[in-house]
Amino acid sequence: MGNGDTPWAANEPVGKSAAAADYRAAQATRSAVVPGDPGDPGLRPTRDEGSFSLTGEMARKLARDQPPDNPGPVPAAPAVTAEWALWGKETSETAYHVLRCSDGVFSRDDFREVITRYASGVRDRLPQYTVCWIPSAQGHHAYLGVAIHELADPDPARSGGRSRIVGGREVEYVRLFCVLYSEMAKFAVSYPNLVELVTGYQLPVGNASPIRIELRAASGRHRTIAAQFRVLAENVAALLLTTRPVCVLGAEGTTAEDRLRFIELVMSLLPYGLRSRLSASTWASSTAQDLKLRLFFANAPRDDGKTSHVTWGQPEPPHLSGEYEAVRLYLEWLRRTGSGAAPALAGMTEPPMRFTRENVYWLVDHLPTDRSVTETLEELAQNLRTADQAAIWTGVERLTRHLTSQDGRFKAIDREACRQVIVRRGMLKRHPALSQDTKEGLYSALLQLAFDTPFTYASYCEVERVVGGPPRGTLRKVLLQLKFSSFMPLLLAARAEPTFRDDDLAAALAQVHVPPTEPIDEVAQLTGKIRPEHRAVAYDFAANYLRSARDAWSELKERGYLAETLNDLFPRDLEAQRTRLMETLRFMYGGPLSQSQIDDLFSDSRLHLTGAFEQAVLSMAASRGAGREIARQAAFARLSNAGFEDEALLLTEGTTERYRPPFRERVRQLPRRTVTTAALFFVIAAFVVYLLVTAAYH
Amino acid sequence: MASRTNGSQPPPAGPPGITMLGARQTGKTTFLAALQIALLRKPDLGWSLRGENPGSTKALIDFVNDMSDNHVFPQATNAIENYRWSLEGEFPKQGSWEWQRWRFRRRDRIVSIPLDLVDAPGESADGRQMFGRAVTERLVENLAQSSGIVVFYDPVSEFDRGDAFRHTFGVLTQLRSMAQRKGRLPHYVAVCITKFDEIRVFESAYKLKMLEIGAEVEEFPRVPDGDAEAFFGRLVRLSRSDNAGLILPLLHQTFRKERVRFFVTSAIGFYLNPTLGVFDPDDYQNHLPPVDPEPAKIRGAIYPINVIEPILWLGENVRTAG
Repeated sequence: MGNGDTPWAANEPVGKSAAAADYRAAQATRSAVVPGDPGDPGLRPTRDEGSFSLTGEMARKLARDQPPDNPGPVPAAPAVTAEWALWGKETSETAYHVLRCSDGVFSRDDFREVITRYASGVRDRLPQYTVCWIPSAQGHHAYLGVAIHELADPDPARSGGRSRIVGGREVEYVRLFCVLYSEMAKFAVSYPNLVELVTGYQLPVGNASPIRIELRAASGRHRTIAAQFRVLAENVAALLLTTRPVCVLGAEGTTAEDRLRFIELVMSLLPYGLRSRLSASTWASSTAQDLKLRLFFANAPRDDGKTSHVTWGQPEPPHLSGEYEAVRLYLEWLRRTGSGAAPALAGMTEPPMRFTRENVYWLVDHLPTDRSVTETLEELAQNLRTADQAAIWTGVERLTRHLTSQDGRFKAIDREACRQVIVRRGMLKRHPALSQDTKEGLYSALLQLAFDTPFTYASYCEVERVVGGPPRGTLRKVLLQLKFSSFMPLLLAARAEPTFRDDDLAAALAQVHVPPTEPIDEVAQLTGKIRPEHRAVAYDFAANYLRSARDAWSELKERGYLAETLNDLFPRDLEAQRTRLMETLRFMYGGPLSQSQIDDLFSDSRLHLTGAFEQAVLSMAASRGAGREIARQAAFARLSNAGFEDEALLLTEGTTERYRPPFRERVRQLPRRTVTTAALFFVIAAFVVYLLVTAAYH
Repeated sequence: MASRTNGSQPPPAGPPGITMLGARQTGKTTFLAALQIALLRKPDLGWSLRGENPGSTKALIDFVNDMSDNHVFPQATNAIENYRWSLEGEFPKQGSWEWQRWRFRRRDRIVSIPLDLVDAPGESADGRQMFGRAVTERLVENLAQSSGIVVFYDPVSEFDRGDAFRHTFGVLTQLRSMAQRKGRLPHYVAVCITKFDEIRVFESAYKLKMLEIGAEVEEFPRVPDGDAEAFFGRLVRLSRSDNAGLILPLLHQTFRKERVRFFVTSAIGFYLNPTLGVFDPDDYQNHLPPVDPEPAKIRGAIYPINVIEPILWLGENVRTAG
């Protein structure tokens, strides 16, 4: 791993002087303790140690001026149809009932039975989620359902016409959405994804048609859950195969959304077909009688004698007695297969599957062998050529499932193999025939397969190489949502769109508390590793960001006016160095430099004197005759920096004796402003004397 | 502990249960929630409440915290809840004689009454089948397996809605049809006339001259148990529906008359001004109506009235029956 791969906070202090090294060490310490948000990284600005990511809002803001990939009509994404019902109370009522429902397959009574069947008791917090199944019966096929238990939004505009309080009590509304099992299985839709897709439907009075839901990729948060709780999820999946309900204890501090993701993780470790018999809830009362849930979270164990209990965050292996030999074998298979298990199980969609002992034996006998990730990639590349939307969607889901279940154990060799396929088949290039959501899901999966996270500068360069230029359009949008190892890849991804403004990125970095000195320190450290075409962009942004520091003046002095950094970045381009140094000096001193300011500049021990710096000072000198003096001071500084302090001192003293310039020349060296001010002073003084003299004689 | 697979043992057999029956918002859950507070308010009775399983213990704690600390009512029940608590009483020197320290002495008597309390959503008893069929069936099964039933009658909501009969008749009819032997059912029934603290109920009792001052230092008024049935008879006349008067005959027709008792109760009790320390007839409303967007709240400290008595009566009889 080169310097470009060095994580953000792990930068070694660089610099020649000990003071600068100490300072940078202090900076590194400071940056390590920048407050990071321990909560959901998708919701708040995050700054982990060694990396940071933008919030969804920031990423959207940075991508706001992005032109669409496809100039023509946008192809439609794959879609499913949802039957729905709303359970609650009207303002004038006291009883819970189905307030309204779709006029599709299910009647009002059907919905009522489903909602009350899966009632799981009083919840201490809302929202909560229940996932359930409806068997095929009376002319309809099997359905899967997701119920959102919630209070009405306090904002009437977003409450869908519901009242938050009725009869003195807060009303727990239930929005139930049911999708055909066959549609869910065809696209391997996950429950968290379905919740994301339907959450905006508030089901107001009026339209009673079933809802058409266009599928799009799920957010990446589930991968965090997968990485943390994979072993526990494997245990729970095995325990479910004992046909006993499983209760997860001790997860009170976890959000309902994360619990739903855990439920999905568990379900992904079972054949997809078992979802047609698997109900679960993010919360159930421990005293609720006759629960119809197989998997649920609770705050106290149940004493019904049949429930297995596991504790959140404690993945100790389950005690499976001899009668559960098949379950033990299944658990071993899960452990052995690792990340390949979930994609393989997602393909087992054929019902009927039931939680019976016979089915478990059958399952162990027919455990699937998964296609490798590279095989899936090759197949996906082929489908991208033919623009088969449904096949592409399924392929992306398969890759996503693979990523979700790989538990951070994706080996470097596997990643390299994936990268080779992706590069060889040009999969990161534009795909105008795909819908926007499919493209986002595709690029997201490909980037995560091909590159390590946090996303490094080296990875960004690789993307540019594959795409044949800066990543534009949807690829850039997806890139901006990644976690970055440092500001460089983020800056370059943002700048890939010409309409981008540096101010937006600076605001975003400030929001995640990136200190003003960090970007420039990173540039200074990477100088030799930064590709020539990125250097100007990186330096200009970092220098500009540094100027936003509260004590920018001293920070710039501390870094020797960035002369050394510029020399390293543009070694053969004196003009590029000179103009940038002049900008810095202009920022620091505001205008032409007086002799005393020039003396200050050259006497600064932190200055690494370069030819460009000398030229920049010369260009900015207030006096036109200062050239010789500047040359002398530069020579002195060079000797001092080279370790010849005594000789430099001798030179200075010697020149004072031998080369004392004549008076007229010394006057000529005075800055014009000083001469003008002195002349004005003498004129005023003469006028005052004249007034006094005339007053005395009159 | 990561995982406990509890083997293949059947669920532990519970004691004969007590099931709550009443229309929605008649105060069933609040009544249960106030049970612990009622016992703490009356330490002289010598009874205390304990949870018999972790879930029930947690519910007990949450109930007390919600009502006494947060001053809020328990949330509405949306599934059948089963609380396994037990009443424990320790009565000094009332037990058997035994030889101790050179002479015969009486041992302390420790009594434990198991309470297997079933609380169902009010909607599940609705004869119009507003709630799920399976839940209603489960409620009737619970009633059939119980030895005691607490019937809740809320005069305020009955005056507004008049649905008490509808929530009683259908369920009791199904219950009778499930009984294996003919004749009246053997259950003990405590009919609780709830929300005595509400102005309309209290005023009614006052006008009917059915009030007496309780023995507590706070001098809370109450309706004597002997007058409770008569009070019930007068209140049903105020119902919005014409058939509330049928509830009493229905109860007597279904259960043995000597096993039905009436209690006038209030789970939250009257408001007690701390500076006065005694009941103030001009300022006693403890129930704060909802003010949007806040739900209804409890104004002050909770002094339950007649909450422990029906449960104690049922518990003792159920224990004998069990």
